[in-house]
Amino acid sequence: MLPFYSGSSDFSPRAEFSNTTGLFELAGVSRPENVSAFYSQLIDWLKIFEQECVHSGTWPGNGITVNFKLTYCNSASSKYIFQILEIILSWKRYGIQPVINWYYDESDDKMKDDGQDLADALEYNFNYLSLS
Amino acid sequence: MENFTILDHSGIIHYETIGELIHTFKDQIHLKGIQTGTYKKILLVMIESLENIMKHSECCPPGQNPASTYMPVFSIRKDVSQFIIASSNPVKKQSIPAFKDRLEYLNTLDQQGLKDFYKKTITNGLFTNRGGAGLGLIEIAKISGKKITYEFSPLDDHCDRFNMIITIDETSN
Repeated sequence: MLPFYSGSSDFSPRAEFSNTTGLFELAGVSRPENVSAFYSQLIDWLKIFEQECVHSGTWPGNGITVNFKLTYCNSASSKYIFQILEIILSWKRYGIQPVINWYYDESDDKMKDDGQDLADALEYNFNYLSLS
Repeated sequence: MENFTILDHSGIIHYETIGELIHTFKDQIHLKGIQTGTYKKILLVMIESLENIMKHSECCPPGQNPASTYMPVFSIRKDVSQFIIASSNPVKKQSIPAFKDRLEYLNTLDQQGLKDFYKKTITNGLFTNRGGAGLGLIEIAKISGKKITYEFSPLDDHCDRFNMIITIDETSN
């Protein structure tokens, strides 16, 4: 299995998911032209990672860390991010306690609120960290 | 108090159009002295409104330039201590009852009600066939903190024009 990487553009985030370290990162602006296609590839990768690494017990990592470093996220992206986190949090059944770090610009209350709304919907605690 | 227009667009909204309008708006903020907190709120409402127009302007036959009566219109203007974000686009009559119900329901909710409705919608796993998440109008209502002003005016036998006005108070940060 290969790591997942997609570079950022003006309106698409950088997505970097490592199958060796268990570090997943999404950074930048999330308003991709085809939001469904963009996030479906991440969801597909996570499902394969779960089958090949987490479920099979062959993954050498100890934990999962998810870093969100988004400066803008449209509402359709938020719903896909929720689905991504649902998948990752379902791995608690394998004894994994994912760490979710939600970075935000301190002048941007809305971005922090978005993280809190997601955490509330998922009933899971996020860490809130300054982007600077 | 100063009144001025920040953005005024008339024409079909494509994905690239939204990007161009975002850049135009960003170029205006320093010139117009808009504070960061207010700018971000306007930007978020602007993007969600334009994405709604892009997804739901459905009355012009493909490949044809719409007559001005069918043309989507979008503007942002400052009016005393408020910013007025106005959008207008044709919608099919058959989609209006459900759309109206949703707008009326949103206008009954306070901030906690909007948060609860947001949670219910983000967890339902549903997407429209145009890729919508059903969260756009909720986000707009949350950010504005005010009732959504809207009306439908008849265009022809199949379509009405949907006009929506969102207001955002000027903040000091």
